Amino acid sequence: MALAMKDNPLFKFFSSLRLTVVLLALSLIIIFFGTMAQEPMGLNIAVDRYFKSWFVDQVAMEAGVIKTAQLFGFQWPPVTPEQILGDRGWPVFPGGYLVGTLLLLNLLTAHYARFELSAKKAGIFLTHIGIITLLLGQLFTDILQVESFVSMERGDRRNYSISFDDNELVFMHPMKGGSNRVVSIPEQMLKNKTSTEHPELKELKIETERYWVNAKPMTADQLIDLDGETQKELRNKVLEQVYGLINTRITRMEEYLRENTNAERRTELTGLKAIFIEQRAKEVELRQVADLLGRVGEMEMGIYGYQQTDSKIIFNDSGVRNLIVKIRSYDDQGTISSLFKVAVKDRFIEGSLDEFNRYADDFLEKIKEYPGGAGENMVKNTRSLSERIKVKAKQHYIDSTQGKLGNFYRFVRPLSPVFDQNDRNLPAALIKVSKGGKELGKWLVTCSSDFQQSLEVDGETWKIILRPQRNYLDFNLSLVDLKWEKYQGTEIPKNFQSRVIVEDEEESRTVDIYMNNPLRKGGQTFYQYQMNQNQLGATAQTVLQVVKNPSWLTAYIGCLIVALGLIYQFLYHLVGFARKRRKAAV
Amino acid sequence: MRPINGMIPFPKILCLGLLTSVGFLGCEKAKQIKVYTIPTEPAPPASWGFASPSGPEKARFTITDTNGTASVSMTVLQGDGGGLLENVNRWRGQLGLEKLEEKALADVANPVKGLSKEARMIDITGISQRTQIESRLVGVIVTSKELTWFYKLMGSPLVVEEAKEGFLDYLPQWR
Repeated sequence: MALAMKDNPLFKFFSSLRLTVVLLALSLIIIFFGTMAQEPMGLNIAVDRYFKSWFVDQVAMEAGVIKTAQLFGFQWPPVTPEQILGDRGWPVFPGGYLVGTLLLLNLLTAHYARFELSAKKAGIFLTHIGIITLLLGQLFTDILQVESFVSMERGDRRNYSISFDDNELVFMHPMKGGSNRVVSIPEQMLKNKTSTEHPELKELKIETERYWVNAKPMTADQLIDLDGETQKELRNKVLEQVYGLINTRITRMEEYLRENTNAERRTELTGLKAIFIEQRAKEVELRQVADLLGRVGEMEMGIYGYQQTDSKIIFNDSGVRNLIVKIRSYDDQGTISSLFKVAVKDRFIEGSLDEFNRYADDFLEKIKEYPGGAGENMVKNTRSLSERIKVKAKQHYIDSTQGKLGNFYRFVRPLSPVFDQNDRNLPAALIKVSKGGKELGKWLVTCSSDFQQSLEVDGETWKIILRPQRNYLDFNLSLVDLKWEKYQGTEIPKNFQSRVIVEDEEESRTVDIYMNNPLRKGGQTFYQYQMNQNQLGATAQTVLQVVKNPSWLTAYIGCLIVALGLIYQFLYHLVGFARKRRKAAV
Repeated sequence: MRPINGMIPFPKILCLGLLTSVGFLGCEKAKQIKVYTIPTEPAPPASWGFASPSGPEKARFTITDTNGTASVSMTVLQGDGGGLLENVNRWRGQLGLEKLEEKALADVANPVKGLSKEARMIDITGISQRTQIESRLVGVIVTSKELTWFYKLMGSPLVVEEAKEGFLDYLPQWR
């Protein structure tokens, strides 16, 4: 029977050394492109789609290949965030799970086909069993391990850790006996716009009207700031054109002085160039640019002998003059924008889009009554600003009808998704809640605020919040103190250390957590992960990584089996060798 | 030593089971709605609106009604945060009041119901040095072994009067 199986072509295929080589080669390719894809896709997404998948999808593979090509100097456009989060396309390459499973099968079949168990080889057999245990342990760790983190400032107390990536929409209501019933809806359901009903939601139906993977809620004055940012970018582009012209003029003077030596003028020009370089590197007002143009013009008159009114002088150049007019217009709009901000700040709460548009129109009328009279340009600039703001308002307005967040933030600005490990997307959604077919309202929910909104229905109060997904602990952690020590005279960290109090019904103890000294409790391990500074540069926040790994013992068991196998094999040969020597001596 | 046997029986069932389990575990699980019960989480009174904390503050709220506005803030400092007398005098200074001597402290700093016996509260009214209008400040300082919590309710006297009870009720849970 066994021999018949060994003759089976399928068995031969799976037990072949050729398959081993092919699979190892495929592993190398997956590891290589998976590593390359981590830059555009972020660590977690790349790991999920290369290593924790049966197949690598088309977009993920493109991300890895394009990044590699870029390293070799090809100017291929990178995969966009929208592509990464959108349709993944076809599976195009074997993924980590497929290659790993086939390797395991290959190892087992090869073992069956070729290996003979004898006392002489028992150690090798044991060592292989140990390696298989390690491989399987790693696989199960990969699948079952849950990582999260606890972030605390001094004095904080936490009874939960939060997920690195996942978010949840929570509906929570109080129960008798001082507890809360929590219904946690995964962010994925908001993203998929899945209509949500659940017995625990007591006939509430939740629908996603709009969803943003990363967004910033805005008040009316922040919306005006958004326009200001765009205008500032345009202003800076024009300013760069002016600087380009100044640079050309200075270079021309340098060349002229090289041919017509004049030591005094050369020193003056070097000084002027230094001022130009310094000014170009920082943010400046229009009058400073005009001053610089004046200096360049004077220098030109001094070097070439031009007259004050000569159009060859830079400040008489019509092209430069037009650019300066443009900058002045942007600056005027900046001033008007500030006035408009003051006009709407704190006055546009719960306002509708029509009301906002009326504000913009009224503001235009008010500008015309500006003390001392508004000039033609000012009215023109205000009209332009007003129209732009109205377009932006229409684009970003959200018609939430309930909740303090939606009343306060009437606009949402979509942001590009981030993939860096140290960044986090802050999703937002506009959800519609109804009960028995009757709409109760639309709430803006966002991870940008930890404010809990209320929903009152049939005498029951629900709290609503979109937040990073929580894993509740059976105990409390309080941060008492933290340390961030550096090697003397450097910024290189020497020691991150957090002193926490662990409290539950059985104990209350103080624990220091630092490198290689984690806290283990409740099947979870708390490692010192990061330290963050506040704006003043003081160490303000510690981050502990929480790892829950039900298969953590497999690594120890695997190592033990490997060690036993190696010891057995060594001793077996040692004893045999000693016997031979004894026989030889006799 | 002789071989124990010529061949190990091929562990078909083990291998099949192993591969099947790997296959099942490898499939991405669709995320489901979870329901669970947790101890009540402290929540600020419903009338408190949210605001961004400034400086070393850990949390800040605003209260607005027809009588004006007030703000509520919480700050945590290491050690005694400068001591009770220093901080009481700092708050008095914000309302343009004279500094107190140590011996007068016991008359103005009172224990707070529901907090530890070291907790002290002051309730003062004066002219805000920042806004130059009459303001009231209810401040609570709670010291523990290694940290000190500062809770402050400050603003229009009528709004503070209205909010004081809710503020003091919330303190024991507000960390």
